Amino acid sequence: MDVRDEAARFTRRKLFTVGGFTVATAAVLAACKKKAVPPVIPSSGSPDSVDKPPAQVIDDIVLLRTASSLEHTVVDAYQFALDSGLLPSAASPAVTTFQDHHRKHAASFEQATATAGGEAFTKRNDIVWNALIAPQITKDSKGAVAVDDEQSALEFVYSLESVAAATYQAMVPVLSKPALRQAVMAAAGVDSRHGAVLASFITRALIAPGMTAPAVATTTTTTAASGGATTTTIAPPPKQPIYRVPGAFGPVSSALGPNSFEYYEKPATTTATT
Amino acid sequence: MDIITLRRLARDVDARHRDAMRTLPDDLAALHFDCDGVVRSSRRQFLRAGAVITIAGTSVALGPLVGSASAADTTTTTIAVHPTDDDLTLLAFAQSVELVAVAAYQSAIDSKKLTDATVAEVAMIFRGHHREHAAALAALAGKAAQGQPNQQLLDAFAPKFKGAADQSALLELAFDLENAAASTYLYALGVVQATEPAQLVGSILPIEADHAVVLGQVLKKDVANYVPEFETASNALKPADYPLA
Repeated sequence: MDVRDEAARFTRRKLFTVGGFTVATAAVLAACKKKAVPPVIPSSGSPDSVDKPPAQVIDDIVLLRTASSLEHTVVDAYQFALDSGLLPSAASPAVTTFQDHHRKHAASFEQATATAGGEAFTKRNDIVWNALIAPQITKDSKGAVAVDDEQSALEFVYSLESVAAATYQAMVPVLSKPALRQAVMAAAGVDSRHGAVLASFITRALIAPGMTAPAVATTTTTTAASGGATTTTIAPPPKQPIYRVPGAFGPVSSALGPNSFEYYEKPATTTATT
Repeated sequence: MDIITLRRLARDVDARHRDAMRTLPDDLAALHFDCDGVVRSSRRQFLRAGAVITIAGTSVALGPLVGSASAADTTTTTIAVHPTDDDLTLLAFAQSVELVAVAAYQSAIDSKKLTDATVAEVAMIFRGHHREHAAALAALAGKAAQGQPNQQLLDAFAPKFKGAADQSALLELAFDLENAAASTYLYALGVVQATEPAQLVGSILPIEADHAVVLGQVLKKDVANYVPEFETASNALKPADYPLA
């Protein structure tokens, strides 16, 4: 192979692979680069000192606190769904049972937090509630509420289960102890089952990707024989499909990110002096 | 923008991100080699990578919930990323269990006793999922993977599948097998040490659980039979009971 081909291949490969990680790779490259001598820029006086933003540590306790906060959030969201009267009567008993499961999951995570030496988080996660839940169940500027009928209520509770299951699954490689990974997945597996049950009440949901899809509205065009008026019926935009079994592997795309975690202040360590 | 649209966008971002992630270790290794000639693998790096994944996956979906990557700082604990020798053994065992599930569904499909067309379609899809699980486990287990169904488990299950009288009997067996698989993966999570195998096992468990729900619904079981309060490891298939040859 020509050396130039090799060089071009390498460059193109780099472009493709590193393209999505501009910030991360720039940081690594910056660390590798020889320190350049900073230019001398004339100035007078000194700027006000700027505090560094507080570093937030993601450890087992933070993840467990986040897990219990998420469970309390789901319990409250379920309560909204139950109180709304929108859920079909066939689904209500299951939803009530699932809400109780989430209460038990919350208690389990609170106990695990305490066992790990942390302070249990016993309330709902306000960041998640305000950003994710509240916009679905409160009136928007036009007075409309997103969750306003049976199917939207079912999709609402289904999405809660998806977020919970994905969040716990995403925690697995970050938790330090196998027993804690086991604890979060003991809840995640059940949340995934909840989602599968709820999906079975959603009319547009399929059992799994690859299954035969139900008939959907199609675009129809009617042209008058005389060449006159044309009527076109436009199908509604396709929604993201919902499955009882989402595929061969559990998805983590709905997992919560670090800014919705429940951090805590670590007790200051003291150094004994003699 | 509704939550479904947000989640679709997040999935798109996640897919693009995963595509870019595939060669990231090589690229980072090359970059680090330029620094000091060694590649470090620690929880610090893993967390950082994880934070990028999460942020990329949720920045669209959960906009206000996700901020700068600096929020994800580090701890000093070092955790193995790649499978330990014991992990490899368990991964190989899990692969052998998955191949038993593939054989079981194949047996059910071949029996022609799955008379409902939708049920037959479901069986084929679930068989495909188990094949994918086996392939993923083999990829991680490397040379430890035998690529064969677990013989002792096959000996225990195959006669039952062959002797099943009808569709319901076959689905009952599949239901038990899926619940046992979910239980096995929960057990595995408490045993594997490294994060890579834990992550894979964690991504398979919910799917086995979902399979069990679908089968339980077809069998018209009470919801309490297929949705427990917690997953448990009490029905786990263990290497000690079904050792590999």
